[in-house]
Amino acid sequence: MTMEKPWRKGRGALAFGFFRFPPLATSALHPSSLLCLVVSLMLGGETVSAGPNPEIWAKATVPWSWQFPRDHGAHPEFKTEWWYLTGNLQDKVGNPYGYQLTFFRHGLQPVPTQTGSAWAVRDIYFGHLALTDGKNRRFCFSEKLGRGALGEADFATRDCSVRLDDWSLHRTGESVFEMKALAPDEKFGLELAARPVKPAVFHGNGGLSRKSAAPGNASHYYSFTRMETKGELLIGDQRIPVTGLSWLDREFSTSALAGDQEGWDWFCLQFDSGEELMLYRMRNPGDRTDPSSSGTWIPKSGLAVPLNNDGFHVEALGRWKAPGGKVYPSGWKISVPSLNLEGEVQPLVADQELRLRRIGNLRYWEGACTFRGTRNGKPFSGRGYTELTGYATPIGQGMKE
Amino acid sequence: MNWSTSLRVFLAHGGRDFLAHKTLTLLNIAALAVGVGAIVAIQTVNETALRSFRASLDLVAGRPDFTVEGQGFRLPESLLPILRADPAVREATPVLQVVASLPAHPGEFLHLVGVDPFSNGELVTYRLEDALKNPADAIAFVSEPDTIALTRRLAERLGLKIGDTLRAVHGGRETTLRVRFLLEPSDDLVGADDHLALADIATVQSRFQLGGQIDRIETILRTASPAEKETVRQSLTERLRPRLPAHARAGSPDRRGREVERMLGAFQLNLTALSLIALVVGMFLVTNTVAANVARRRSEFGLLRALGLGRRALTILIVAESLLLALAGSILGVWAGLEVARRLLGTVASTVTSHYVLLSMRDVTVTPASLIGAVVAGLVAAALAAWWPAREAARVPPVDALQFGHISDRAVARFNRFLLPAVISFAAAGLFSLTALHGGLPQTGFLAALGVLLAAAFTAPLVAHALARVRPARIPAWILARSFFLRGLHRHSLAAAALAVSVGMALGVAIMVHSFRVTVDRWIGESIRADLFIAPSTNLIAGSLEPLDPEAETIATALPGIRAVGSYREIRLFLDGAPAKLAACKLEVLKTCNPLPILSSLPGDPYELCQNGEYAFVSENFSHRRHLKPGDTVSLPTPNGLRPIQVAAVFRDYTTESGLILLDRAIYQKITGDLNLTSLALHLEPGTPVQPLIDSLRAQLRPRGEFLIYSQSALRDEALRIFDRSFAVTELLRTLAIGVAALGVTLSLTALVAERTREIGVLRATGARRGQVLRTIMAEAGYLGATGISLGAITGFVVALVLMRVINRAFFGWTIDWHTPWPLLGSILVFVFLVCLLAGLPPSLRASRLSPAEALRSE
Repeated sequence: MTMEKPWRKGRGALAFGFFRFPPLATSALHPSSLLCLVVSLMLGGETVSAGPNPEIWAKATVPWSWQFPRDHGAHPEFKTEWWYLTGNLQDKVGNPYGYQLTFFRHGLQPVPTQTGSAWAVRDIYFGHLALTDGKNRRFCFSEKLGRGALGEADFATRDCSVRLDDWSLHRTGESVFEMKALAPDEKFGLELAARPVKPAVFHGNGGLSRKSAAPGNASHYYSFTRMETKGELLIGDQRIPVTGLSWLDREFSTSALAGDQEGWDWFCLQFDSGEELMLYRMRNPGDRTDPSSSGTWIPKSGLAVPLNNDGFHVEALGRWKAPGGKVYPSGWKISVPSLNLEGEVQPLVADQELRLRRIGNLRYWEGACTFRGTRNGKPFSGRGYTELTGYATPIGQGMKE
Repeated sequence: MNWSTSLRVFLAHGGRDFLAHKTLTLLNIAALAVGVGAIVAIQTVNETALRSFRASLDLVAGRPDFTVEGQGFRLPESLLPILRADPAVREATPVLQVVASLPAHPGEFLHLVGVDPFSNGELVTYRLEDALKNPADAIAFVSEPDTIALTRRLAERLGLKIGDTLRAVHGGRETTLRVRFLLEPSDDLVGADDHLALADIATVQSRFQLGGQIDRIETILRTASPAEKETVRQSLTERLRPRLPAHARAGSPDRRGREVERMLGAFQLNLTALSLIALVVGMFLVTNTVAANVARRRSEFGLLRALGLGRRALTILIVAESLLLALAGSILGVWAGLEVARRLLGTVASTVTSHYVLLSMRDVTVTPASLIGAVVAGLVAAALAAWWPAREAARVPPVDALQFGHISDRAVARFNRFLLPAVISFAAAGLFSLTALHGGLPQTGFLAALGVLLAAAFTAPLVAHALARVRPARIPAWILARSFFLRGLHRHSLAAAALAVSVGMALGVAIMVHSFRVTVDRWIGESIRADLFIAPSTNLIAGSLEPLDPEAETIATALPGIRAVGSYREIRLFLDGAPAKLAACKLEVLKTCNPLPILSSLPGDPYELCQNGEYAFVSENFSHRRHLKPGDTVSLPTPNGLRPIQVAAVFRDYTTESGLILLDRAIYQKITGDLNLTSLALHLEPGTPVQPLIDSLRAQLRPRGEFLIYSQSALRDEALRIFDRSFAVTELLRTLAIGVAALGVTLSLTALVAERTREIGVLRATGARRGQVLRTIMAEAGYLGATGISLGAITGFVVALVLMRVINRAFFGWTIDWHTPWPLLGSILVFVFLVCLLAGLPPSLRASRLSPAEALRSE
């Protein structure tokens, strides 16, 4: 389980990148929103010295001494942390659905400088929620943001117990992750319970996922790659009982990445065989694949096998034009020669772009997909999630340093 | 004959006469311009005031669906989670405001608003301009302890740049703030107060030690349609009621705007009514001119009729001609009105600030609708005014009209017909007074005033006739003038009526303002006994009720030669939907050093009652408007619930328009938990020199911020200054009305001179000298002036009576003792008479310059 760097730029990079808008991008949008200014910058992490003394944040320099359930909870000594859930579900008659629910915590200052006020900000919190209805080819998304004052958010440190307003994620005594989120307009939501059926996968060196050569430019990172999930989705005024598989990413860090990438394409696939694949393609100018791109193969045993950039190929098959004219790739041919694996990833619905406004103009594509192909010459299929960033809104300045 | 014929005749015909009689035309335009201008000016100032207020409100709060606010006292921030948890609420965001003085910038202040940028996203109406240019700083808004955003205008005025620091004091707490952003309101909020500054709510709480407190919660509701909003609001209010403190008010945010509008309503109605009187006076003039026109062009109209123009068409023709003039006058009036409004803004803003709410206006904002409204008012007034003489003209048979010199004398015999309308108007005035006072319709008070003025107008011909009966001395010019005046009564009656109305209004307002001023002055002399007063400067500049530095009381008490230190706390609140002030002071000090002018009280010593239990003094106007007597109960909404307070006594007070409830300080602090003070009153040992004490106080207080320190006489002067400023606009309108009336004199005489050109020619031809003609016409102006003035003088007293005893009572509930400002009245009357003579001069000169030959040839 000590795969060196296959996850070097894993979900952490993605999540960071989302919020790194160059300042001018924000001004083009919601000129009246203070939030877009504040938050987009706050999430710039290392590029902006948020607190009076950024050195006070803990850095990921040596492998973390993992202790559960404590490490399912928050690590406020680190600047940035998230709980990132995606999953493919189906209702009783087999109609496919996808969901994404993400909780972020971002520290602004280790100790708030405003004294005597419950509003003094240490961390800010935000959440993203998206649902895909494969049968009706519908996609909806929503977001939440808060400073956590007066019980607005509660990110516990003893175990996974995360709440932002009325969105929540809790781990029960039976190690089931129960989540609940309803879009503020009440048009859609979910109430699911996800039970890991494989042990946690620790990325990098015992979970220490290095981001660059500099010591401390790393994160602590683990995932549950296969979680049996059941519960209900709310779409319109319908409550739909569903079952399926989820994937949870957990990461906390203080230093973020360096790089000149324009964005990335990320895939997680859960095969019907009980195996999983994660692929991650960093894009350099001219849509060239960065050598740091990597992947992970998780066999039934749960022992992760790293894949480096040469170990897999991703080729876009089609294009999808987002509202506003930006173009995303859509549909890919994927092959992993070492596994003798080959096939096509196709989105469940073409438009699974989140167009968020509360934290500036943030657009990225995060959607449920299906996989059809062969392994060792035999039909091989599965489902998963794909994430595409940097196509509609640029990834931030911070990434380019 | 039909409309199109009228139109053709009109087009071919209308303008020619205007050009031929330029003076008349210009005077007519000027009269209407003044009338319309007055309306536009007042309307604009009123609108600007309201818009500025709303814009300031919106800039701070955005346009939420639902608001919970603390009145008088702040709210606990713990209410926010309750709102956020409610299923009807989509977003809820807190607002905390303070007014802070700036020791380095005397006279300026900050209206600092603490917001939560994380939850007010849907409500923000501003942007932090420089945050876009220097984005790394944007975080500072929430994370740095001292960051604020200033409006660009204020920053420029204070000479501050991004990054500069600024010392600010609020409630005795001084702090340093750093300007990190400039605030740009969105386009529709131009006009908002530029003293607004923004900071994170944590910054405001921690800088001024206001942890746990907020002023308002602004809420966006989850509703599908705007139609549902009201229902949702109501059910939410119901659900919240048991969980909100008694002093919290929940509901539509429009309500606050509406309340302020209502609060300002009386003030604005006052001004609007006065501006309408200027238009009414203008109408008299139009009627007069049109009548003159009609008389002069009698033969011309007769010809038109003879050629087949119908009565209706002729009426329309005449009205349309006057509309053409009215249009020019109205447009001119709009322009002039806007100019006047610009000059009035400052005065009105400070009046509103010292009486109602903080208001700052820099430029006029007015909707096209109200400008069009004013123009339409001008046109309608002109049409109405022209209709009567036009119809009269159209009724004359063409044969009569073509005959020369037939109609002029007809009016003389018929002036008696105005007696009945005069009586009816006067009776209506009485009736409206009753409905204003007892019928719950305070607005009808203005109708009562209008009735009095109309009665005066209708009486004008009678008075003119009566005056003309006085046998003149045997001076030829005078005898001639009298006969001219008598024969010109059909024309002069209107000018005299206009004059009487203006003079009556001017005198009425003068008497009322004077009486009020003397009453207030005497009251100040009787009731303000303390020798020195201390208050935070922001209370004067910003009209706020910010708490006084508690240290000031300690410093004051320690001064030598102090007999007693009285403290005063005042807050504004709404009781049963109407504004009121709640105040607290040390009654023991008041009783010994400065007893209240008590009008009625419960048996026993009201001071003792109030010191020992939940009793209060209430001001006279409070008791009047709410029909409360000693022994009755008022429910006070406090952070500790609704507290029933019994009225122990009613006292006379002129400090606030909204009415005052006065509690003992200890009782007030017990029931509200509010320990703040608003001001201090220092009573000195007899013989203690005041100036050294003031110097010592200034020296000790200066490092603690900006304070107002008034001696007794300085406070009196300040109170009277505020008083005078409050009536500045009223006095201006008064002057305007006299100006319009003076124009009327000129107009009337100009018309008559034109009418009598031939007659004057005969006079000159039979040997009258120019000087004699001049004197004759001037004497006629004198007759006219005397009529208007004598009638106006009487009317003035009646108007004053209505203003003081009806309108004031119905709207404000003050007691105003009658004081007649004889010297002022005398000088106004002399002034108006001189103005009349002056107004008579141009037509007189014109008449005297007529060459006999030409005059005889004319018409």
